[in-house]
Amino acid sequence: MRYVIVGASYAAVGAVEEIRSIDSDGEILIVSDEPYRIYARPLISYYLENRVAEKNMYFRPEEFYEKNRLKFVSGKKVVKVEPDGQKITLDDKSVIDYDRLLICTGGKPFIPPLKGIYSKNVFSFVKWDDAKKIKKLADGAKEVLIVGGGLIGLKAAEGLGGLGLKVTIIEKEASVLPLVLDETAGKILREHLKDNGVDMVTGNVASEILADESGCVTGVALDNGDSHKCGLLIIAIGVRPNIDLIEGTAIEVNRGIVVDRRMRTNVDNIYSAGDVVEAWDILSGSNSVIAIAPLAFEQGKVAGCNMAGGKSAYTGGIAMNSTDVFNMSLMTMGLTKNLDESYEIKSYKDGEVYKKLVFKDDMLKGVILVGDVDYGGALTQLIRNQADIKDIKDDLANKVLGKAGLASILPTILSKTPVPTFH
Amino acid sequence: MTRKIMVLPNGACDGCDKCVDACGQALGYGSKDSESYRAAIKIVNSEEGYFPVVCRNCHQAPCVTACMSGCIQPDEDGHVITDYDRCVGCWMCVMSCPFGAIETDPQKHVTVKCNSCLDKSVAPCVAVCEKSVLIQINIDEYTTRLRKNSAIRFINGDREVAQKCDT
Repeated sequence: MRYVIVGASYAAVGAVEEIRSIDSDGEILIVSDEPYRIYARPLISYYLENRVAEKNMYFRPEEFYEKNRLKFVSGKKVVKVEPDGQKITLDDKSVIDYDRLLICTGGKPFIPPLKGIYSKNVFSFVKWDDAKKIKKLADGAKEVLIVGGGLIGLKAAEGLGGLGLKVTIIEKEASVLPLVLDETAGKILREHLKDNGVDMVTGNVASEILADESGCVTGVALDNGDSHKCGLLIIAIGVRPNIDLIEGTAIEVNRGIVVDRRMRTNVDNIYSAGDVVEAWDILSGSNSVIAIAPLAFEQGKVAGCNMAGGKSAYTGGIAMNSTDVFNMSLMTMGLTKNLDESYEIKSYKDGEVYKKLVFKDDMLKGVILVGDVDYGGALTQLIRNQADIKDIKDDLANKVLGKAGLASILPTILSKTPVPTFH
Repeated sequence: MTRKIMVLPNGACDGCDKCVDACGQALGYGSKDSESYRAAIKIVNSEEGYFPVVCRNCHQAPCVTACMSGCIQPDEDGHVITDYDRCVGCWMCVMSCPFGAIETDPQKHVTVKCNSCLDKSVAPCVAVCEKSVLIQINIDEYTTRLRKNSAIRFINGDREVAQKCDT
């Protein structure tokens, strides 16, 4: 049995660990288009800021490859998938046969078709190489513009701000993380960024990338006629499923590769997982792309198990994220934004601490935690299990948002959700 | 297989907080009154009584799955261990732990999670627990005790008796 895994990040590792727990003999081959062994992609902002050393960038230790007897092809891109012949073609024209194929190629940054977008010193911020290039330039550049205030833009801002550069984020909405943060949380974060030297220009979009005669970026023009100067520009306006390699195949794609609960595509022996898929979304009750590391890993595990002949079903995911920006902790889980009146919202704010709970049909649907995120996992479980909390809803809201705190109701929350076992 | 720190749900915890002090001290956090004080075990005072919150060393632990840097891994005995040199403080594990057993230390940019004090023969929290709520025990024996506990509770409906069984 030959397992071929295209892409080398969280889903790939989850799959490898699961395959090896079932099949110790099969051949596992990973193809990565990057020149590194598997590294923790979201750490690039920490690497940029010198908070993580090169040796700590790797998601698994060096022994991982030998222990799991992995063949690792790096720096090669898969250009073609041929389900009929069960083979893939790499950019060096070599062909690899597979018995089971896992496509976990993640996302690729969306590059808007703006004039000047291909000027020098304009970067995305999703790969280690992006961080390395930016780091090299960071000494010379004094002003940095970041187009896009999502998580990638935000972490880039923190990283570059930490290096002492003057950073400004250009965002068309009113604050950062506009997809998940409500107005109150957005304001707190915007103020916090300002206190830490990161400015925001909001309400307008970039219309042109300005460059000098040598083709180096000099600034960004906005659609309202304003322009802002920079020596370094980061484009962070979103990531799309990276599906180029399956073009021309019968693999079903909607926004991402469509998979069932066992992470199978509609084509035999081809599985998919991670940021490239559209998998089960608990809260919408349909498939959607939720591009976050923990779900990629979970999906990879499910795919790996099924590829190796086991039986495993993905329980589904929710949109969730957690981060820390200039020492402000931040967590959002589930539905937090653009809620109609069928949702019941309760919140609490005190200075830089903000908490919000979203309820509907006697279930917890969403949570925002800013400044105090401890015990947040208990709430995540309530959402992921869509636990019936009719009898504790008011108590939960009073405690989480009141003086008593989440901890005081922890045993009750645990009684509402299944918890993992131990060996 | 012996687990270093296990919690017996025998209702005997009286919230003395000695385990918390012992843990914080072992981890090198200074005064308990300071805002930066942390410990990897907490005693929650809930309506159901005092409730020790500490890493339960889950099988297929959600924190391991969620960890962005890969710094949380189970060891061969099933202890879930955080390599703090590689923790960046992204709080993904905090967001995933159903038990609320992982705390943030925003000043140090790391989490605070029980690592079972594997370098000590007896964990400091276990050593100071006078009510034997925290124990060091073989897993088989632990589940036997839980089953016995639950049977006695079922027969007697009596919390006192269940406690005697455990202690």
